Amino acid sequence: MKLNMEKIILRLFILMIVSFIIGGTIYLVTGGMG
Amino acid sequence: MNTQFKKGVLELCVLTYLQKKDGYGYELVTEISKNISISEGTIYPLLRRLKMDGFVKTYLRESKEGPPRKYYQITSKGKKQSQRLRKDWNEFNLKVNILLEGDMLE
Amino acid sequence: MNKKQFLKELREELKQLPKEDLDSIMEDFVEHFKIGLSKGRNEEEIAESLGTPNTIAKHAKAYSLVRRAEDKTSVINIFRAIYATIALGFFNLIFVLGVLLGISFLLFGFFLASGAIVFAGIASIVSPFIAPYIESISLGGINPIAIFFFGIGLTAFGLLSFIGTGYISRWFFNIIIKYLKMNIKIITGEIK
Repeated sequence: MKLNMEKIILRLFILMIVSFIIGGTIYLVTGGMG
Repeated sequence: MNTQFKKGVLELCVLTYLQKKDGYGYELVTEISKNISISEGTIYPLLRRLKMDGFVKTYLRESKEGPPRKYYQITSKGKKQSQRLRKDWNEFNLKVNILLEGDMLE
Repeated sequence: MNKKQFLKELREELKQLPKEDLDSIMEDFVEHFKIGLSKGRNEEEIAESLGTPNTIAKHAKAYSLVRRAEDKTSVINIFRAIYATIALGFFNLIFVLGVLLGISFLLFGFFLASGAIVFAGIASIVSPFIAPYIESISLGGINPIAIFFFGIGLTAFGLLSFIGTGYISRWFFNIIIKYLKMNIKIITGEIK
C-alpha cells in the first residue's frame, strides 16, 4: 500500500508540473489569445 | 504548579511523612501544606484513597487536648509504594536537570 | 465561610458519592474543624485554608469514580472516571477542546478546498470541448489548449492537496490518541 501511494503521489506531482508548463507555454506563445 | 504533577508528588510526600511516624489527619494536612501550596482539604480524599488502596491504615487514639483523633499509619505495602514513588521522583528529577543543564549550555 | 456553611456545601457537593465515602470524608472534616478550633483558630480561617468544597469534591469524586471503574469495569464507569479526572484539570480541557475543534474545522476546510480545486480543474479540462456548443461558457479569450492543460495541472494539484490533507489528518488523529492515552495513564496510575 505504501509504495502504491508514493508512486501515485509522484506521478500526480509530475503530471501537475508538466501540465502547468505546457499550458503556461501555450498561453504565453499564443499571446493569451486563441 | 500543574495539578496532575502535584497529585503524584502529594502521595509521595504523605507516605514519606508517615514513614517517619504516624500522624493524625489535621497534623498531616497542616504540615504538608506548609511546604507545598495546596488547598489542605484535598489531602483528606487522598488519605482516604491511600487507605482504600491498602497503603495506610487508621486507628483512633484518645487525646488530652480535644476529641479522639484518627491516626494514619503506613503499611508495608505503603512503604513499598513510597520507595517506588521516590525512585520515580529521583529519576524524573535527574532527567529534568539534565534537560535544563543542556538547555542552558546552548 | 463558617464551619456550618462549609460542611453543608461540602456534603452537597459530595452527595453523589457512595454513603461510606461520603460519611468518611465528612467525618474527617468535622474532626479537622474540631481540632483546629481547639487550637484556637477561628472557623473562617480554617475554612479558607481548606480550600473550596468544590475543589475538594472534585478530587474525592475523581478518586471514587476511578475505584468504581476498577470494580465494575463498564464503559459508563470508565467514561465517568475520565470525565471526573478531566474535570480536575478543567481549564486544560477547555483549551485542548478549543484547539482540537479549531484544527478539525481547518482540516475540513482544506478538504473542501481541495475538492473545489479538483472540480475547477475538471471544469477547465472539459470547457474547451463544450464551450463551442454551450453559449454561456466563455474561455475568456485564452487558448483552449492552454486551458486544457491548465485544467489537468489544476486537477492534479487538487488531488495532491486532498491526499496531503489526508496525511495531515491522520497524523493529527494519532496525536489526539497519544494525548488521550497519556491522560488515561495518569488515571490508571492513580489506581496503583
